[in-house]
Amino acid sequence: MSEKPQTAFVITANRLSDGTVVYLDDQSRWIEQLDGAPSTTHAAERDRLLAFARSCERDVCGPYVIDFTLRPDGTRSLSVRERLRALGAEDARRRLGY
Amino acid sequence: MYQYDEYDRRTVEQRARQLRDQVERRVRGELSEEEFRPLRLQNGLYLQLHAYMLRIAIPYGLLSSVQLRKLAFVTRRFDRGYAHFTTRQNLQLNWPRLEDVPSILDELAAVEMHAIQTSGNCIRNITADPFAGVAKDEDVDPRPYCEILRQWSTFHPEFAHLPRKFKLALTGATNDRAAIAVHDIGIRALRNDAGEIGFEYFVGGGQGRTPQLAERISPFVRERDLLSYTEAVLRVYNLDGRRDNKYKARIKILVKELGAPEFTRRVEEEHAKIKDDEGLVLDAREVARMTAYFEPPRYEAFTNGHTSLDGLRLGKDRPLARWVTGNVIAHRAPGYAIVQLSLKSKDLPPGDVTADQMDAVAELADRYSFGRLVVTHRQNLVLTDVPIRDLPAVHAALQAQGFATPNVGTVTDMIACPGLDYCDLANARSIPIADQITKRFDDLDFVFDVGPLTLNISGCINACGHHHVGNIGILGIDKMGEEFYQVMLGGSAGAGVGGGDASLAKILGRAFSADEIVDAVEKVVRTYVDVRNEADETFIETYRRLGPDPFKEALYGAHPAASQRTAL
Amino acid sequence: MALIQRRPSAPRSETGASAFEVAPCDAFIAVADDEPVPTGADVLVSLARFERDQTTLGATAGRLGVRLPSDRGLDPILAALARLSLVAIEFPKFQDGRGYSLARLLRGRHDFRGELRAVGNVLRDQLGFMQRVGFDAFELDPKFGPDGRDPAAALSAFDDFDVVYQAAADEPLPLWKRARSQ
Repeated sequence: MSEKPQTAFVITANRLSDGTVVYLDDQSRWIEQLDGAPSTTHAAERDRLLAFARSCERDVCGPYVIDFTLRPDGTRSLSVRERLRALGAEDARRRLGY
Repeated sequence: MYQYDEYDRRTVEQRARQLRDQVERRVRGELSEEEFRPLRLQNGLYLQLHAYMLRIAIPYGLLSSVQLRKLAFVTRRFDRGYAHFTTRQNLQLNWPRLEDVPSILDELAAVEMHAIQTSGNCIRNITADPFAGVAKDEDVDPRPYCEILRQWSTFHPEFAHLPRKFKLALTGATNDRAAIAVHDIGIRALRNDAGEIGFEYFVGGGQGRTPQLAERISPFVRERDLLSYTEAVLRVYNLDGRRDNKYKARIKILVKELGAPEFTRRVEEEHAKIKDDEGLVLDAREVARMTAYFEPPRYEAFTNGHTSLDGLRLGKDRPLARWVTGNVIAHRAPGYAIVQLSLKSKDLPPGDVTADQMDAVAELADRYSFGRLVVTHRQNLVLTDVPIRDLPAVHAALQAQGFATPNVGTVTDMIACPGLDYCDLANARSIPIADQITKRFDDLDFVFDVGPLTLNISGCINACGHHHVGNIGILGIDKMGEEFYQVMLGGSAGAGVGGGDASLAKILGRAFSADEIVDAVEKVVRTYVDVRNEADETFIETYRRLGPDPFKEALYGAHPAASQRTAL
Repeated sequence: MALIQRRPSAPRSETGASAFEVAPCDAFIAVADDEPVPTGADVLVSLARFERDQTTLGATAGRLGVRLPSDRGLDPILAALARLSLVAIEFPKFQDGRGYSLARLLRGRHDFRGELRAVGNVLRDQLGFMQRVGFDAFELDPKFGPDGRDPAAALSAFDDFDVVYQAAADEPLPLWKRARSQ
């Protein structure tokens, strides 16, 4: 049997102080792990979270919504850009040999 | 080399102070990101995928050892110990913290450096022939004119908000090593039959999503008119350039839409009105003042021995011979040589250097090359004035630092943009592809046999990696959420790099996955080796003789038309 | 809406923050296209109104000002320039830099001596550039950020730099020609 894949949303931004990729968690905190960020499938909730994110001008820059497909097994299909963002700066440096 | 006067010094100090104030206003919450963004961009400060990036201007690529040591210090103190030289002859820091950037600018100001106009829709850092002043094929040293234009363009109040960014490149040599055909303005300084200096003037070249070669709009702009003519071009562009669509806003689109004759007519009409303005007429005294800054250093007179590279090229020391053949170029002064440092090795991404390497190169520049060095638009460094006598010692020192790979001008001397490892705009990674290509072509005998070949990689359509003018160009794209790479062939930035006249590369066929692309590149190279006429027919010559078909067949089989249809 | 102007007492050649002030009030009344023009008043009208009612405006108004959009060039006002006391050049977005060239040409080529005002998306960090191409009045709109709310603070932007390299409306000679005579 096949369940219909759902479109889900996570709010992301870059930290003002150093540009680190961050995600909005369910306590309205900005965290570095995508896995710790809850995703919502409700457009209204997405809009509420984005509005909140935009009010965090002093902490983060350029908040936006990542939308992805939530597969039936719970994994997320992300663009290559978002996969690399989610791996973080440390991983980027390791990949580059630094 | 130009030395700052009190005015230049004050300007860069005040610029650092202005940014410090702007950063403080942003951190205090008085400026929103939307308001702050254009301000930081005018200081070359970008927000990239994982971090801020600061682009530091290196006017026409010329550096002193003192400046390079400062860059090493800044890289170590405020970043993570390495930095990246770009195709605009600039240096980029990859991981600075926002609050440190004003301090970085203060440090740079102390050695006559800055990040002014390294971003934004203004006249960007001016680039030039990296061999300016030492090349044998040079008629006129372009650097005094670069400096005159740098000062004219610095905070030019009328042209700080152009429709789009604006890039100038200058050469004064027969062979174009500055890629003047793919700049918004490309200028070749030359002498007419009467011996007077003037400028062959090209406008409207560029890469990006609409690649175009520049049109020659004047065969000879008089020296006195350099500023007035350039001001006329910029005024026509500022008033008439498109502002309704950012992708059609570059001057190349204006030149294309109007046609070169009409564009030229508008420039000439404007120029006629301003050419005698006292504020714009360049006079001989100012040219002489600027030229004095770029006088050749006090060369030693080498009377016997050590005046030819041939001995070293044919010598028994094979690594030295190969290095002198590949990376060292004949100099205008007897007994001297131009030494190119390859920033393309197995150890670091193309164009990257560590702080320790910068210090070491600064030391070499002091010992062997009058304390000067140059950044090339192919992301290498040059020691411009090395005595031939010292080449073995310099070679040994460069080997120790990882700069002696004898691959300059070959398939592994790649241009590569930072790509999706760093860049917010990229669609695909460039650096891992460059790394794989370096490893695939690690047989120097084969690389030497293949000969002159430019391979340029961009991680997106913006073409920072100059894929349109690579003999082989690779363009990263995002195809259904995965990284894919298109192969383009037949590009050339000009006679100095890649051979012949400038030309734009054409897409060969469907794109390749990250796993396939290096095999595809190797097939292209091996096909060239198979079909070239003689061992000395270069890749671009072969491509121009035969066209894309042998390469298409090698990559896509016998039915190139079918693969063309599915090309992205 | 805040207005920064050159101090009436400041000579044209004076630069820096001390030459400017936050205007206590705007001498020109902005008149909408469908509003009657108050007799004898100094008025600022749109270019459309100006083109439509040129003759009657001259008869009723006091001093006359026109708002010039950034995308029409100078042709619509050149013939009537002598009758204009104010040209307000519009900056629909701060990135739209056509107004800088228009101002430079009005001052240099057409010898316009009246008030030249920058209006629209005018920001503190552009004031220095604008002053250099010939603007002597700057309207700061609070909707475009903090400068319009605190125009007095924005005045300090005129002091950010005290070196100018190239000739412009404020300075007939480039630095290298000026430095020579010192």
